[in-house]
Amino acid sequence: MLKRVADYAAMARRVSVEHGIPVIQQAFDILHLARKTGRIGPGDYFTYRLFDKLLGQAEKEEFVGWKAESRLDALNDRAWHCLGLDKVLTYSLLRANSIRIPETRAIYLLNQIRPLGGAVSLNTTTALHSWLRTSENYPFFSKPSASGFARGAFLAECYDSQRDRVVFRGGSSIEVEAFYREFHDLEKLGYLFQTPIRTDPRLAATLGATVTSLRMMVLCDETQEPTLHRAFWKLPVSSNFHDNYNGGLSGNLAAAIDPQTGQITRVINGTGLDIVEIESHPDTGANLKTLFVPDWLEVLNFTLKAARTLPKLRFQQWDIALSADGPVALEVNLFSTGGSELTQMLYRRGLLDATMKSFLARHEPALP
Amino acid sequence: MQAKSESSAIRIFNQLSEYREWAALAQAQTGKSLLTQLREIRALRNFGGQCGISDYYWYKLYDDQYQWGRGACDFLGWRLQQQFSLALNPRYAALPAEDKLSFMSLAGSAELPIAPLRACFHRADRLADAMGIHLKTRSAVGAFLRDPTMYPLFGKPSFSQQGYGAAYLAGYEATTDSVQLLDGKTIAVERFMDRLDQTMDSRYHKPECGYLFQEPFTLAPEILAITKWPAICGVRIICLNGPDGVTPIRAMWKIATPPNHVDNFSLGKYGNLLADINLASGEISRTISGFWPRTQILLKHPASGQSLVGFKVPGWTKILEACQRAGPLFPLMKIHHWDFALTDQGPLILELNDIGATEFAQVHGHGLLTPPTREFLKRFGNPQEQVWIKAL
Repeated sequence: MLKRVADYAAMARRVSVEHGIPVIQQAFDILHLARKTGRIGPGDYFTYRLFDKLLGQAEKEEFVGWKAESRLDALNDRAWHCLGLDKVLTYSLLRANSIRIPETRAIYLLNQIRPLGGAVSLNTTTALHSWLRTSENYPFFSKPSASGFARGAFLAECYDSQRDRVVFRGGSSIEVEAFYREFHDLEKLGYLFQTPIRTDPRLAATLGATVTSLRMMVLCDETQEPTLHRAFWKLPVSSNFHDNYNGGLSGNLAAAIDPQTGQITRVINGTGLDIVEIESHPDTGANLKTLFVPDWLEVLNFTLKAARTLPKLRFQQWDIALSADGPVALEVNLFSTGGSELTQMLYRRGLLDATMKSFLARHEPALP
Repeated sequence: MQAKSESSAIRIFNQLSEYREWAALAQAQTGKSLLTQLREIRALRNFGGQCGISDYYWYKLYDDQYQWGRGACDFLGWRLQQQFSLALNPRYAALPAEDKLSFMSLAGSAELPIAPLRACFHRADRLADAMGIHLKTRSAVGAFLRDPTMYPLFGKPSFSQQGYGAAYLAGYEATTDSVQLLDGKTIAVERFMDRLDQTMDSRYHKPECGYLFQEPFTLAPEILAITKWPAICGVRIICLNGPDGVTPIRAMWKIATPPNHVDNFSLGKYGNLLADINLASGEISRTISGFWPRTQILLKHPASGQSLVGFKVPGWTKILEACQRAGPLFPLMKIHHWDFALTDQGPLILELNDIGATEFAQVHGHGLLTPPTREFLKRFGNPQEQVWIKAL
């Protein structure tokens, strides 16, 4: 607690020095915003740079702090939250409804068979080891059914039979029989082995070989067709095999896009006072602001189509990969997955805009 | 205020009269004195299942000869009926039980034996093939309902509790543009379709989740031979679903008797029967028509006179197999209350319930709180939300 206060004080001093805003004025601002609907706290204030003189008071009040995120979470029917927790369940449902998903080739779950399309069931450690020792099964992308922020996720390139090791992208490796310990399958819902998604070839030259994905935030209810509320593009850099932003710590970038055209309008790395504006891709040198999401309207339609299959999830945050085969639904996120924070940082706009307010007004009387 | 206290006094008086009557019946059945009965009711407090007076009589806990296993200490009281399931099925996991369309899609994709659908109304662009004809709009549903070749049908909302919005549709009457219902009444097609976009009760019916039109079943011939009544009879089977696999803990056969068209037991209100199924063999042991102490064990079916004892539920191994396969499909739900229909095509899954009745599961002398179930609750239940688990 004391450390947190000290951190806030340091940030306030920094804002005072770098932006010329007295600490006392920042404190009044925070107190004022804390009483508003968005329940902004000191951490949110600095994360979203709400001291910025370019932001009007009404605009600041549109931001949602972490304390108020539960209001948005409540838009999603609680019984449907399992779709944000269990990827096998979500993939089964999406597959049944003909929504394109990654190809799952095998699922490891001790003593149990989790059905998912044609995925092979690995329900013994012997079966797992045998699968990992079969060269034809490489490359693969693997992750737990229940996880977030790329925990327990790997991109394996090949099997080294001389040393009996799984070799990952980048050259590191692990013994076949030790791989299981890295799974992080704490919920015991299964561990998935998937065919790695090939990136859209039109993006390879500018964004690199790793597949990129869009976070598509959709409002969906019974009185209107699903509508895109916000979207941003997650761009992996360097040797990262995933595009998770993770507060900027991964080095990956996040790009705001024009919802009409799919063109990148702003790219950042970092968070809060350490946000850095990026112009060109650090690996390829490509000018990012000239880039468009390929076939943006198709991606948008694909997402809205997927959204329609989950009518009791009113605030859906989809991760849609831009693959060589077209858009692929990676997962639907429901809460506390960083999407709300990142979109507010990127767009310099709070989530509680007129669209969200009218949506909330329609549903809040019925919310628990 | 005075009227309120009078009515509660009458209620207490009626309740006491009922207890007195139950106590007399219990004494007649077992010879146990009132004092002994009171002593045994008091002792129920120590077992953690929160059984009270009603539970003592309903489950025949006054008769040691009737109980299986450890007897009274295995029983769960009516006070914990919901909590028992809520402890193992957190609300965030309830989707397969709450939304029938999602359930049918998931179960169908896992090739579980589900009741076939003729059509489904939902505004999604694509639905699983198992959903039958995909009706995307109200007008498409109208055209479907006006096609006489589609009948009979059983219609039910994807999200509905307590039967809101469900109806058996016997046929179409072109002259009045109406749908005929099972009881001979009719309803205009347009009026029937209001349930597709208007809730009939916002607590129990969510029209945005869609509407299903199910094909009617034909009863399994083995059952018809015993019941001589074509109404569908179902099996309720309760399974614990842990990471080590699925463990069935209770199963009952719900037997519809004339003139009932549904097999709901409802505490014996409608005269339907409830038979105990041996989990290993699928054979029937005890059949009753109500709750103790006012019921009795029936050895023969009252309509046909056929023996019930030893009758083997048709397709029993298929039911067990389906439960085993379905466990890992819904791993976040740690207790599954399954309903199967016994049809001429074999057992078909009607639905998965997240919260199931516990009274009718214990009326044959098997308590639910056996030592393995207690261990399971302690391992997977949430003692912060369900404090009673700590007392087990």
